[in-house]
Amino acid sequence: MATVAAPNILHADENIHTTNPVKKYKASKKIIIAGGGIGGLCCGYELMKRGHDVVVLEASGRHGGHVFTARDGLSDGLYADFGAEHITKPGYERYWEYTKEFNLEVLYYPRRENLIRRIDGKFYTEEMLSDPSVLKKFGFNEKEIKYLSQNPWTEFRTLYNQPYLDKFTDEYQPFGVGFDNWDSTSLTDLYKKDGASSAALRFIGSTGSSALFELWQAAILKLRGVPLYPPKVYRLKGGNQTLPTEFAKRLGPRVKLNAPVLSIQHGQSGVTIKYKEFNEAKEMSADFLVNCIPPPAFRTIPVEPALPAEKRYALENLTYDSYARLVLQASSKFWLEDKISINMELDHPDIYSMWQSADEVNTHRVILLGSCPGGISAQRALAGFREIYPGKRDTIEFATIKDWTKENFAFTCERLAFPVNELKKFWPNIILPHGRIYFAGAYADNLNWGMEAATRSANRVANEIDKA
Amino acid sequence: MKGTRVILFCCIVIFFLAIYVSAQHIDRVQNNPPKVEITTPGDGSTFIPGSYVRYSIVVTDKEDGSSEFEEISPKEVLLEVIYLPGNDKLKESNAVKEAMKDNPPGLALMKSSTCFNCHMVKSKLTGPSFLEISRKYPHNSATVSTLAKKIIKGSSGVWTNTTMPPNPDFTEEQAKQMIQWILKNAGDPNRNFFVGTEGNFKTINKPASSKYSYVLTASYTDHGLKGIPKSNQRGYATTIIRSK
Repeated sequence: MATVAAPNILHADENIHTTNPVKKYKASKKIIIAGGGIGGLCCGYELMKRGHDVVVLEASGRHGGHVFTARDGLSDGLYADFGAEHITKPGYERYWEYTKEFNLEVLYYPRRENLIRRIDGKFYTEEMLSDPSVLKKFGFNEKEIKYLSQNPWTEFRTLYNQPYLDKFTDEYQPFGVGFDNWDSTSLTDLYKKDGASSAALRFIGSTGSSALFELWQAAILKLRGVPLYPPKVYRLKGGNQTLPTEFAKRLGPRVKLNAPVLSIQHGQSGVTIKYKEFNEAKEMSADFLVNCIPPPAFRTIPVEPALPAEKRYALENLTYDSYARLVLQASSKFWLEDKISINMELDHPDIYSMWQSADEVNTHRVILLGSCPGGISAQRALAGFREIYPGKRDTIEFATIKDWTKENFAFTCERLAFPVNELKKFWPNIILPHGRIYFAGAYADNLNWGMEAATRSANRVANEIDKA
Repeated sequence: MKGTRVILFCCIVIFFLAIYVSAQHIDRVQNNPPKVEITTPGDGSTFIPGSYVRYSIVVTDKEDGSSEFEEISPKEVLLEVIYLPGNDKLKESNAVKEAMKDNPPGLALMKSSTCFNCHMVKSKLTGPSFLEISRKYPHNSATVSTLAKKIIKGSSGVWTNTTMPPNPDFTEEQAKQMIQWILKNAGDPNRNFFVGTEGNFKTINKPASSKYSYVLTASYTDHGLKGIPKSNQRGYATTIIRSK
């Protein structure tokens, strides 16, 4: 396999802000990357740029993983992002660098404008949720009513987080800032201590997550200069899969599809894996292996000798959510006639949210996207939407759903909050390498903001292996 | 007279023809049982204690298709692994006999539903493992009712913030059968269950002197014939593997 970077790649490298210049004269290393999602592709690309010999093994028949843009079944050139939805600015620094490097067009995504929210069966606009008389009815206390009348509903947690956030100065270090013992407290208990009303706890409390974890996550956002729920978000023209496709294009035949890793053996000097290629069992050895497979899927691959107990704990106990993406195609912007915003947060058991996408496509037809629990059919989710849609009628002509829970290999979506007393067990264990095995991907960074976490961790690992 | 005889003869011919045709018809609408095969490990093969055993299963069904061509969803193929200490031939043959039996109703319902998309029996997936669930709640009828309601109405906030979707198509009785199966089987240290046509499991690490074996049962219940309820048939295969 070629170990010298192609000229266009060298040229590309000059444009990218990087702390690691290309090391042209160093012996190249062979690296196997398990998993061809955005993290694996990005890591492979970065290592290739540094002159190493990489191979990316993807179990399924397409690369890109959860960054998945689909066109099948949609008319007029419309498309839908089945997975990763948007990026923020600031907040996605690595990602924006790549959009410049590959000259990708970024579009403003107005999905969070005029958000309407259904609470207990009733729709509320942003204005209503800042109206003291409405807020009073929810049972909030004086302080909360005052805060929410001056700040967006989505920043509610900031009222209680704010006093603590300045203590965090390194976004990769949650410990030693004076709050270590709050890992044994739930977020709900912390807010209770600080005088939150029971109404507030209902909306922003979390008995399942560690207070230290949640404060740290909020502090990371503050350090990056982003609100908790950034109102302005962006996406790639033509679908978010454009970026992983750009990585894959540059990697060329280094990306093998339909090539699941079956087992991993590792030692002091390298790794040997068994994998499948064209349905045939094969073996491959390398100096390093980077795992870019989400831990719930990685758990099913035998690793010998077994990883240390702390590492195993982190990999085996990390929890994820997984859901289904509803895609609706309508023949018009029917909600405009009803004077209703289509950007919705819903409290229906079959459908959680709704927004418009692909609005730059030149057609009168529109694409609506929604999030639903796994196991729900497109028609059931659509029925749920119709049940609660507050307007007169819709013009939806087609519904389809991507149920991630039914995926064979990538059946999880986002990493969930760490539970009480678990932060020490997960962090930094989840990102630490063991011997010749490194860990990158959306799960292996401080924040669970998928595409940025994937590209950040991919760069971290590429640098670590390059220097190793 | 002669005309009557001809008519009678014709009637008899038509009668038998009708029987023949309907017999053909019955034959045509009969659902064929699926064929299940454990392609690895081979029956009677050995393994090093503590190592991983890789398995693969092929299912073919005249009506549903073939797992090799992805016409049969891997999520509907179940592998049960039973641990048996000692090289106990009697226990082994009992386990093989047990494999013949239809799945208990709770397990059968779970196989045909979406449960295994998010739950595994012994380890965490998106949802908690059935083992964790069986450890968290007391094994009594109150638990069966409470958890059955959670299956039907959905649930969230118990394990993580992830929501379990409602499953309104199940009756309370069906949901209870599933819970009963979970409480009875998930905690059994000698049994494990896997969903999928391939994968692997770790064998128990024991000194070479204490021999043991595993009985693997792969099974698939087909979708039966459209419009003919309860025409489903279960196919299965067993394999015994022994420690070196």
